[in-house]
Amino acid sequence: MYQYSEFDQTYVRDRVKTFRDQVARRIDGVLTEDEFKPLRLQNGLYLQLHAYMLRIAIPYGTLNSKQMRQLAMIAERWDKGYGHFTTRQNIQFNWVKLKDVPDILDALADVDMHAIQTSGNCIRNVTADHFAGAAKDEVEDPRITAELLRQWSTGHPEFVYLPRKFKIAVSATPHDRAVIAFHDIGISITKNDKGEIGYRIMLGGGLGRTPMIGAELTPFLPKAELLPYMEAILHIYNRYGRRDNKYKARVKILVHEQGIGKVRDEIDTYYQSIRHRFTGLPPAMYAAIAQGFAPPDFTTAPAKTRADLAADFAISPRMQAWAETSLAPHRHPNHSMVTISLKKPGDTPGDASADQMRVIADLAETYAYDEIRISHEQNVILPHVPNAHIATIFAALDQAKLTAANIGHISDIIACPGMDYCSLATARSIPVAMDIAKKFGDLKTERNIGKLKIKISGCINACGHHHVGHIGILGLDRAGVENYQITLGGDGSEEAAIGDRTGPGFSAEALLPAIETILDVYLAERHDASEDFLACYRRVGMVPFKSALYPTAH
Amino acid sequence: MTAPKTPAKIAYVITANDLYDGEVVFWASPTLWQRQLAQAHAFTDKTEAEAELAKVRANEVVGAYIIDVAHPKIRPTHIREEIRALGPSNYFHGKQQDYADATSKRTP
Repeated sequence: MYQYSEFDQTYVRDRVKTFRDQVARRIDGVLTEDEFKPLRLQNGLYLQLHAYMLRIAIPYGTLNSKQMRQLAMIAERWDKGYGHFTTRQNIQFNWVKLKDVPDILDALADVDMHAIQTSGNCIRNVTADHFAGAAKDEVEDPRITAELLRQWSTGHPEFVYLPRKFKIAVSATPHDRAVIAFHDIGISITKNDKGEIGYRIMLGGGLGRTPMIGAELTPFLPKAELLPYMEAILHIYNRYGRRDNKYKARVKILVHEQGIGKVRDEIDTYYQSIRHRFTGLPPAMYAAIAQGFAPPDFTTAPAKTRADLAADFAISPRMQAWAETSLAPHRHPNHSMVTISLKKPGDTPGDASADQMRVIADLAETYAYDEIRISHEQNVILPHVPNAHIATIFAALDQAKLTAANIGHISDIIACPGMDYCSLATARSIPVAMDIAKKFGDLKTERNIGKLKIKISGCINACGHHHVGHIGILGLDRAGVENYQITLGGDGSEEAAIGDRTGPGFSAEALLPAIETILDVYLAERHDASEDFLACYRRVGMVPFKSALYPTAH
Repeated sequence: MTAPKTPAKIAYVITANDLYDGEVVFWASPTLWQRQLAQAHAFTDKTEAEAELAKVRANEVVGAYIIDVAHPKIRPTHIREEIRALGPSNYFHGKQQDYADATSKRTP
């Protein structure tokens, strides 16, 4: 795994020291809240409904066991014994105290972690495919590029005060698991006709109140040109992005208003003017980063293929049911990728207790090359698990209540913290997710419904990615009462689509019956079980769903 | 937790978050921030509440503002404030923990 350099470590320690002083001055009253707020946000510290919330960066969603154990320690010592994994592969602690935050940041620095650039109008944590380094059809490990971008963007003086926050995601497989089309910049690592590796760059995607699918900026950018080209993109956004209206300040609005052609011309012109300044990334530097993501020696694992697991499944149907959804093919035949669901029906999506974090850390260290990933879908992944250890890992996860067999199914719901925690929220998300999971999350119902992604946001900012849910739910405030709009047909994959609104929203009480109606229509309309919800919706369209949801209107 | 209906009588309470731990607090004049809504001072005149808001000890708290409450039994009229006054609905912790027997705590 990539290790921070001495430069990184010194930088992080210096930031903690500075923030410790700032916290002390705030508590002493030397700094007002207006003065302190931008400083705390630069260190990932928000003030939410009930308490301070600390958002900690997990670059490209990658952790090792030591880091996961440290998060568990923080959860127990300074929070209420759990953490919340987010849709940007980060973790949030919901109950920290201001006076403790410098100590928490020091504890994070002990394991090469921090909360820098998890807030504010800067380049945020760079995210990547959670199967990076393990997926069979990967061009190369996207974390190498993501780490390069992390180093380039961290503390970049020109891009500290952008018009608005800026999010970058990287993927390196034909199937997009990183939702790159809905990021400010989406990077797809690809090969050209000559077999050279480069980047397809998309610009101006986003969710929020104005969902947009990113437009292709360039189909193929040679690898060596990435950083100067990124510099040009951010420069043009910084110069022309709107600062007069925060709701129109994201780069997607610039692309929408100016058109991708004009924006591309501006970027290219500026790029040509600065290109000569970049002599290229020193090969040794790139090699050092790449070495940090070198795959483990998979040949040391016992010979056991996926097919050989049948004998294990024969003695445990529960394990078989779990394996059907939780295991994914690995690049090496004697391994699998294991997705650990943090969506046990009835639990809060994305939450893990300190004990559960330690179980995951122990399993990763003992059986899985010490690698852990966090997905934007708020689950945890052990990316390299020898098939010989699958049964052992299942047993340990089962003890920790971490074997919900629901990955990719109806109860594997993305939900933002919503109005239970978030000061921006207009309605609750978590209880909605819990109710849906409890209602439809039994194995038989779930398997009958098949593949289905439900995503819930508690406000128009769309942290719960509702626009790209096969079924999306948006919680709003209607005269002090929670009301939920439903969208259908959203898709965050390479076939990117923004969901269509069904019509008027539903009260909290009417929402669950409405979801049931949608599922009934799907089950009645589908050709057979092989046609999943999204495929069925794309074939039959909105009409049958709308007719069932709003019968009096028809 | 269902959304409260609009009560017959409205009063006004000053609320904020505590500077040190972020805890939701309510102004209980003349000099104290309290952690329980029931202990808050309810202003029947919004102008009075606004005048008091300008005077409260703002440096111990963050983001003080006025909320509507039902009166005389003080209860928020908006679900957001109900959640702030009680705690999140997914875990039995936050303020509801203060109100109830600790043994009924639900953990993740």
